[in-house]
Amino acid sequence: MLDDPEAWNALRGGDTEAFERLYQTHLARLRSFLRRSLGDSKAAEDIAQEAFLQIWQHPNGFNPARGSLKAYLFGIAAKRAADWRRHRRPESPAPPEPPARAGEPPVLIADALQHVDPDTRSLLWLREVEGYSYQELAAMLEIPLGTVKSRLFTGREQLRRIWKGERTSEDV
Amino acid sequence: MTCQEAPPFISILYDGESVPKEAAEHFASCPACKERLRDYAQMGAELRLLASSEGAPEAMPALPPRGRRWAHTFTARVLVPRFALGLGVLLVAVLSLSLGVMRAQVASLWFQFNVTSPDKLASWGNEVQAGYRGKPAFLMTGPQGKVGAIIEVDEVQYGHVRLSMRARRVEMGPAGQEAHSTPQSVEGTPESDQMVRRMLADSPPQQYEFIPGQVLEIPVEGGGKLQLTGRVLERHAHFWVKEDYPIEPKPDQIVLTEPALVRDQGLLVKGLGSAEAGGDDPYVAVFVPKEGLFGFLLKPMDGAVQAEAEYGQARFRMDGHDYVLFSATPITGGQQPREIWVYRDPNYQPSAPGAISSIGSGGNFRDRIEGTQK
Repeated sequence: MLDDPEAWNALRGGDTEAFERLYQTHLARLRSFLRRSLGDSKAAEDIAQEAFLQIWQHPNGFNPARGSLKAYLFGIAAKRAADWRRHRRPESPAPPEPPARAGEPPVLIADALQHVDPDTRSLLWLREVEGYSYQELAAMLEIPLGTVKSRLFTGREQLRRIWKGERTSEDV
Repeated sequence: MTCQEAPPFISILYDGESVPKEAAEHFASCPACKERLRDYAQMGAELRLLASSEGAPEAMPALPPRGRRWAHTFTARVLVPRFALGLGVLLVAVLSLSLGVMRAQVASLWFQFNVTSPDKLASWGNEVQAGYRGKPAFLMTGPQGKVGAIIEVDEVQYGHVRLSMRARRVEMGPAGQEAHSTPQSVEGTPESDQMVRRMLADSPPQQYEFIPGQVLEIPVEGGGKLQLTGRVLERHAHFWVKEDYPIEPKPDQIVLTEPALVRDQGLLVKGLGSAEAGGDDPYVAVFVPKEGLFGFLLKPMDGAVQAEAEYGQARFRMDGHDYVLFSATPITGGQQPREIWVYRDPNYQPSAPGAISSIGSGGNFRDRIEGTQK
């Protein structure tokens, strides 16, 4: 397994084997992230391919000093996902939270996640599943560090409320 | 800290970051906050489980060769919206037109110059387009001398003027034969053109590089030097204004810029050039063949009539006729309208052969009139 600088140099040199290693290593996680972020498997597939292709076509965009190669890949995908949401889909409010009824079993985490605001959902996934630090998230998504913290808290609270079926003051 | 204030710190604590001491103490003793922390942990674990259950690695699709996109850009057929195509065509047309205008402007630069005679008593000025030869001219420099000159502007580039000039001084005949003492410049009549060309027929042109702002001294065959000043113009000014001529003359200055003299609504003379004078007793003289010499003065003189000058016009009545003098710039300065005086010598005979129209200034007008009357 190549480390980032080695892999990057190989990619810049047009090494297709190095690119295939990158692809096989990260595709599943990237696609998973995009599916959860977009809620659309086809779009997730397309954007994952576009993100990999961008790295292949423009290998000079990566700066090792700013983060890992994986973070760079996920950052590209996150931006493309945000663009996709803005341009390919009419803006619509998030689906209504499922009504919480006393005594009902908690909803699946996957279903609950789809009711979280899309940008927050992406951030939550990148933190919880991919394990990126606050600093990495801020760099990848080009948002301030404080925004990362506050959005994570908001996302967790939103997800927790839906997942556990808690009532909010608006539900009463 | 209360349970309402604590949740943001729970999120931070869950992420492995440090929290304030107050928050830490609250968490240690608050079951609700501990439960929230557990929920966060459980949600995280559920999300990671969810990710692990999804898709296995699969074969990588074929990669496009690098650089293909560029090659494709240049060779592929592309769809261009009609408005974009139209805009592109319009842009090309505008750029072409702009280029043409720029080239035309470069080609049509003009050199506006002024030449002063060696004795500084006469001057001559005009405008010549780059690549063209100016009209021949001569400067009368006293009762017995004149300088013929032809200027050619070879090129005007980067503000510099490359020009060729021929200038020769010729002594007139015996004193009295060419009796006149008014320094003047003459240009623009067929007679004067022929005369100067004859004068300069065997005079080789000398090339000079002129930079606007400088005073270029041009040696004259036969003695003396002409002084050349000038400036580059983007277009023909249609009338010549000497570089240092004031657009707003002072009260003791008189300036005639491309004047025209009208008598009883009939044009008497025009196309003379320009002249200016200042000082104690300034005047500008205009010679009109068969009509004599008109002297325009700022001070009264025996035999002169009073005229009312107002900016570029002066009106006067003389010998039963109404005259109007037009100038392209104000005739004199000070409060307008103001009085000037006009003297006419109907018997005046210029020294130059051919009796051509001319304009000039310099010296004392009374002395000149008395000189010709002797």
